[in-house]
Order: sequence, then structure tokens, then C-alpha cells
Amino acid sequence: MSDKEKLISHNSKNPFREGQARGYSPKKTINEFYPTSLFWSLFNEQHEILLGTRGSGKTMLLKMMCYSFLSKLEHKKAKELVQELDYFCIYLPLNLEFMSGIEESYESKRDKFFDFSFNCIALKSLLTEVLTLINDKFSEDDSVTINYRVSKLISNVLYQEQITSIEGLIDYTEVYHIQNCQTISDSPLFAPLLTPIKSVINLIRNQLNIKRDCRWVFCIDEAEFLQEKYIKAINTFLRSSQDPVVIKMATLPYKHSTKETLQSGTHIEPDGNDFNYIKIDYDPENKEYEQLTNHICKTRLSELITDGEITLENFLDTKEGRTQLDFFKFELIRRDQACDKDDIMKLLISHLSPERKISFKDYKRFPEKFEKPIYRKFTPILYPRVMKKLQEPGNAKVGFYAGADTVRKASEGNPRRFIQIMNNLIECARNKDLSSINQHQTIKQTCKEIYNSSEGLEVYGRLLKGLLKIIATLISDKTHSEHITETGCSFKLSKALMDNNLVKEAIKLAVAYSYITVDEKTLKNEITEDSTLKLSYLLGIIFWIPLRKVSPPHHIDFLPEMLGGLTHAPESALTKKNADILISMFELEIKNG
Amino acid sequence: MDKAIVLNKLQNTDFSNIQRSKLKQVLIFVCGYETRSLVFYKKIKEIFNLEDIYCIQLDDFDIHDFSKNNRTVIRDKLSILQYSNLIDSLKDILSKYSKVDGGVDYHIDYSSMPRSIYCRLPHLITPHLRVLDSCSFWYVPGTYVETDSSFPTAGIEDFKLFSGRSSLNPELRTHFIGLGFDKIRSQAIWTTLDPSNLVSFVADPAVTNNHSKKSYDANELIINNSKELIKLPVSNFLSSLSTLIDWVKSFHELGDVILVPDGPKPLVMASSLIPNLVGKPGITCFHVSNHNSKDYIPVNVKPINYLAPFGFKFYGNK
Repeated sequence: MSDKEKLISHNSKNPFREGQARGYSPKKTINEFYPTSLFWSLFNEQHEILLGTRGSGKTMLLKMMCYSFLSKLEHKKAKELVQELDYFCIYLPLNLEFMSGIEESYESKRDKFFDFSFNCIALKSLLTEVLTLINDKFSEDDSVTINYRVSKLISNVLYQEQITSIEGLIDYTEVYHIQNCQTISDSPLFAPLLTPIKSVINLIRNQLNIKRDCRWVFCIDEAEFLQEKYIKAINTFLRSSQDPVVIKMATLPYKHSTKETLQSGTHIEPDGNDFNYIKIDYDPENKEYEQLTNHICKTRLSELITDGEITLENFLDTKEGRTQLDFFKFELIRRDQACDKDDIMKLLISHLSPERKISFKDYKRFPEKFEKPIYRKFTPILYPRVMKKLQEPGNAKVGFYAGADTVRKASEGNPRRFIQIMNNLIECARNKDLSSINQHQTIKQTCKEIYNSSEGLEVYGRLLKGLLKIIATLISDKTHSEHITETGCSFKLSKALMDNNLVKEAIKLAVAYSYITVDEKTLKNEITEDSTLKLSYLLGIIFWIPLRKVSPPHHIDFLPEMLGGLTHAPESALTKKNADILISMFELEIKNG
Repeated sequence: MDKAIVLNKLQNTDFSNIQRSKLKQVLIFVCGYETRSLVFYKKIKEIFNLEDIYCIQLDDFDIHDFSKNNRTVIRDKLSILQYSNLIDSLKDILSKYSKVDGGVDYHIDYSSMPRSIYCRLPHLITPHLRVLDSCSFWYVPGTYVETDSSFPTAGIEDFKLFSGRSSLNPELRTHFIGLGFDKIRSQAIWTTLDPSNLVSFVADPAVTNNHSKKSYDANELIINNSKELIKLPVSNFLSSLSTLIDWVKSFHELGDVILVPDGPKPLVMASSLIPNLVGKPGITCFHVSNHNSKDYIPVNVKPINYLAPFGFKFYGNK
């Protein structure tokens, strides 16, 4: 019995069932973490705002930067960082219930309570990390003494109390926060953001002999739950030099909604002036994403598969092959069609327009002349054209969207989406086998489920789903038109469309949840009519669009008779009815090509 | 809402078992746009010669066409409470009756009340209840209605912390999501919260089999992603509440618990009470409001006539 067969018959829990890093145990977080170049680059002295889609791995990155996690990572660089202690990182999540607690206080005093609550959570998180550091670095006897001294000093400064252990101080802070979050007092913890924490850092540094140039990095997670007034408070902190404290703040794209500070007319500047924006999402075709996904596979499948190297490629290997070309050829062979390179070229020529066919008369004499401009350019478009026809009702099923590359592309460089697809592939493996046909069915079905769930995204979900369908259908129609033409998932939306605020908000939502991707410049700025957007490859799979970018992108605009058609559009698309009215107004076309 | 609450001698009630009493009977209800909002009022009037009736009039009463049919009731002999100063008015009423000789039975029909009101009432009433006083919360089962203008979705700003306090940076957070009929709304709640550890609860048995089926159909994806699915009998408040508390306590040992009810009102009520009944930090309850949209048209929920109102009752201990 092969290991894959063992997996199929295995009755234990599907190892890909869990995909939310916040719920992982520390051990699982450390085991599953794959340090990429991006991770190491975050150890620097610059304030940085990490922009990543839902499930892109922001939490994992921030948690792993912390001493308690980093010190357990088996990696040379991690050991150096822990040894040198140039950076001491503290994880600080600002979840919805924590932030909503602040909203319970009187409106005029909420800024103060935000400072207070933020300082309390920062203190608790800092003390938790420091406790690990003390226990790691010092002998048992010394650690007891240092623990006592640190705790006494801090409790005296902050609470005018004599608390004799850091553990006790952590508990005290928890209770103190609950007891004081309704009434402002003269407690130092009501001072502006992180100011009292800097005093605490000084005390800790002296007691633990930590070098003066160590940077204390506060890793703020879930900043998408911050209201604009609180973002301004953090921006104010970023604006002024805050040595030795550094902020790394993770949020969803377009949720760092203002660059204003609390000082009227003062803004923070990106590009290294006050802070940097950092893109977290991977390109699905990037080598590091390949390594990361292989690492996840290896970690999760190692208990079930024991022979051979575990990679995504090996796991999804089929007798039909591994690449889209393999699957394409196999489908032709199954239907008694020839599939040598020459045969594919002939097939390709048959899909060309009459004008293009003329230029092919020299193909047989100089095939190399046509290799790059025609073969490489058009075969990725030919595959879905042919496969879509082959799978039409009445025909046998096809196994085309299969293999490791397709899974990585369908996941759009998003680890959580990757885990979701793998979860379904494991279920498929248990019930059937992982033939290319079964992989195709499973991947396509998962893509549809993810696409359908876009309807449930906050506020603009239904509008977004309608818009995605219209755009994907337009590109799909172009892909499958009579003659083959340049096509792919890239597109631009006209000014008339982007001028509609609801459309713009829906597109932003699509970016935050990986239904549409944008280039780095657009991610860090605004989405405009000049932005090149790309449909997520999962839509490419559903609508049989080549899984590639295309230049120039498809330019999508209203039909000529519909220009100005949104004049009477609903101003709000929050209800099913209004969203549907708006969607019905999108009579669009691709202008170029 | 942080104050601890004790519901003394908490028990289930069923309208078919209601009995005449010599104690003073006080009714508080809403006359709104739902047809069912008058059902309990009419039924209880058949049993008691009620004189102390307080009708809460919502701010949007006149906006909705459904309200027109209910307008006639306003002509009855009852006291109208305006929504704008409701809490103060209710405090005055409770203070007045706390001086009445003998005991007082308060009847509150919360079937048509917004959750921002009915979930606050137990906290408001309990301090005024004397040993002989009782308070019954009544629920009139309603039909399931779907309209084209429903499906208001939810965004971050629609989440309001109703009760409890979260911990600072807990090790684990478990979300308890109460499932309703609205697939889009449930998904919006789910995607906004992005829970790492999810427990779902659903009314089962619900008021009808069809109601349960609708909940399961609408929430298949969420249920599949839940660590646990808790089935709560909607007409048995005591059982639902105690079951939910047991689950909350067991997950609270691992970290924070965040309740987000969006199902039938009895389960919203139970969830909202839990942080203050358990009385420990790290248990919170969110209310998800209907998105503030002028295009949202409320649904006229009609009563299921063959089902008697049911609810729960507790006594004072002053």
C-alpha cells in the first residue's frame, strides 16, 4: 500500500482542516512557519505598515518575530537575532472586542481610553515576552531575583504598589484595565500612546543588561478594526522619533484609511520618511511561495506520509503528468488526437484569424521563427479554449486544472486559501483518488465555493460578486471568441466606472479578500482608472480564462449607449435589491483588442 | 453593560399555563410594524382585566406601511412610551410599582422589540423586583419571511459590544456565532470576525421544523467550519441558557469567548445575558445591528397562530 493510499484510507483528522494562524498553538505556529526573505527584512528600525489580504500570513509573521517564538525557530538567522538581541519584538493584537470596549466609554474621552487600553495591552504583552527572556537567559536563581526586581520597579512606577513577580504584575494589569476603563485617573497608563511603556522598557533594559541600541518592536495585528481617530493616534506616534520603540502594524489593504495625525494639517509620509508600506502577499509563481507551500505540505502531511520527499508536486503527481501541457496532451490522447508539438501548432493555427494564418505560410520552413511569438504566446490561451469545448455537456469530463502550479495559482499566493484547497483535495483523496480529473473537479468546485462566498463580504459583497461575474464573463467571451486572441486575467476599469464610489469600494474589498490583485504601487496608494487590476486566478479557473497576466490589460468600459448610465444608480448597494439594480446597469464591454 | 445580574428562581413559562392572579399585572410591549406585535397584548387582555399597559412607540413607527394596521391600538386606553426617553420612563414606572402593596407581575412581550431594548430590560428590572414581584418575558413565534429588500449585510461598524469585557491579549479566542436565516448576513459576520476557533449555535428544535431547516440551509459553510454545533431548544429558555453557559464556561478555560447571536430573539436574549450572569472578564457579547441604510425595509413578521407564546420568568429577591 503506498503512502498516498494510506492517506486515502486514513480515518484521522484532515491535516488541512485548520487554516487560521491565530488559533494555532505556539508549537504549531513554529512548526508551520517558513521564514521567507520578507520575514527577515522586517527586522529593521523603520516603522512599517504591513498590507496583506485576509489569510496572507500577517499574524504568523508578526507572532514569529517575537522573542518567545523566534527563540524556538531552528534557523541560523533566528539564532543570531536571539543572540544579538538587536530587536525585541512584542505581539499586540487589536481585536474587535478589545476595540469595542473602548467605544463603551464616553465619546469625548475615548481618545484617552484608547491610550490607556493600548498601554495596558502593550504592557501585558511586553511583560509576557520579558518573562520568557528572563527564564531563557538566566539561571534559575538569577531569574527569580531579576523577576522580583523588575516587577517591583515597574509596579512601583505604574501602580505605586509592590508587586513581587512579573506573573503577578501581568494579572494585576488585567484587573487594573477592567477596573479603570470607565474613569480617567492620573495613572501613568493614561499618558499618550506607549509613553509609559518607554519608561518600563528603560527599567527592563537596565535590569537585564540589554544593550541601549536594542529596538523594541511592537507588532500590532488586526489594525483593520481601528477607527480613523485611533489610526490618527498611531500615525502621530509614527510621525515623531520614538527611539527605541518601533512599530510594525498589519492591516488589510486600504484599511490604513488616513495618513492624518492628531495635529491638524500634519500627515505622515511613506517611503521611509515616517514609515514604509510593505506588501505581504506572495506572487503565486514566486519561488519562495513554492517553498512555503511545500513546507506547509511537509509539515501537515508528514504524520501520514513517510516515504519519499513530501512536496506539493509529489503529492499531486498523477499518471497523466504534472503540468498543464501534460494534462492538455493527455486529454487529446484520450480522445485519439495527436499531440506532438507539430500537432499542437497545427491546432493553434486552426484557431488563428485568417489574417494571422497568412503569416504562417513559412512555419514549416522556419519553425523556430514562430516559437516565441506564436507558440509560447498563444498556447496558454489555446489550452482553455480546447478544454472548455471538450468538457461541454455530453462529453467526458476533463482533467485540466490539476497539479501543483494550478493549486498555487488558484490560491493566489494566499496561504490560507492554499490550505482551503488542500483541505478539499485531501477529502477527495480519501473518497476517490487524485487523478487529474478528480483534482480538476475538486479545484474547480473549491474555486466556485470561494467565489460564491464573496457575496457575504461586508457591505459591498453582493455588488462585488455581480461585478466579478460581469468582468470574468467579458474576458471569458473574448478568450473563447471565434479566433484566438491575446487574453488573460489583467484588466483596467474606465474612469466612468471608477468614478462610482460603490464600484471603487467593491474593488477595494475584492483586493482585501484576494478576489482581485493589484500592483504594489496601487496597493500602497489609490485604485484609479490607471491601475492595472487582475482577476484572481480562481476566477480564471471558473470562467476558463488563461491563468496569466496580459499586457496591455483589457480595458473595460460601458457600452457606448450606456455612458452616463449610472446617473440614476442607487447610492447604496447594501440590500439585495439595490445591489441587483446596480449590477443590471453594468452593461460593459472590452474596448481594446 | 458590565453589571452582574442574578435572575432569581428563573423558570420557563408557557401562555397555555398562565393563571389568573390577584397581584397587579403590568404589561410592557411594542406596537410596531410587525403584525405579531399585538398578539400577546390581545391574548393577555382576554385573561386579565389589564389597566396598567405601557406601549413603546418606536421612532420609525410612522414610516412603515405595516404600522398602519396596528395604529388602531394606540386609541386604546394605554400609556405610550416614547423611544427617545424610554429608559428614564421605564425607571419611573418600575419605581412607581415598587411601592404597590402586595406583588406585581410584569409581563414583557419582547417579540417585536429591537434587541437594543429587550436585552437591556432584565438589567433594568431586576434591581426593582421585590420577593413577591415577578417578571415574565414573552415571545410570540413568527413566520419566516423573505423579501427582495432584505439581506442587509454587516460591516465592522455594525458590531456593538453589548455586554462583558475582553481580556488583554488572550491566548485563544473562541467565537460563538448564533445562526439566523440570512445566509449573506451570517457570512458577513463570519468574514468580518474571521474567527480562529468557531462554535456555532442554532435554534433546534426551532418554533417549526421549517425554521430549523432554513437555518441549516443558510449556514452550511459556517457549520462546516465550526468546531462545535450546539443545538438549543428555542422554546425552552432555561435549557438553552444553561446549555450555552456550560459551553461558554468550558471554552473560557482556554481563553476569551465572544458571543455573536444573530438567531431568534430568545437566543439573542440568552447570549446577551451570559457575560453578566457568568460575571468573569473575557466573556463578551456583540450585537450586530442592521446596517444603517435608508433602503432597508423591515420585514412584517406575522404570528404563527397555532403556537402559544412562550418565555421565561424570574422573581425578585429584595
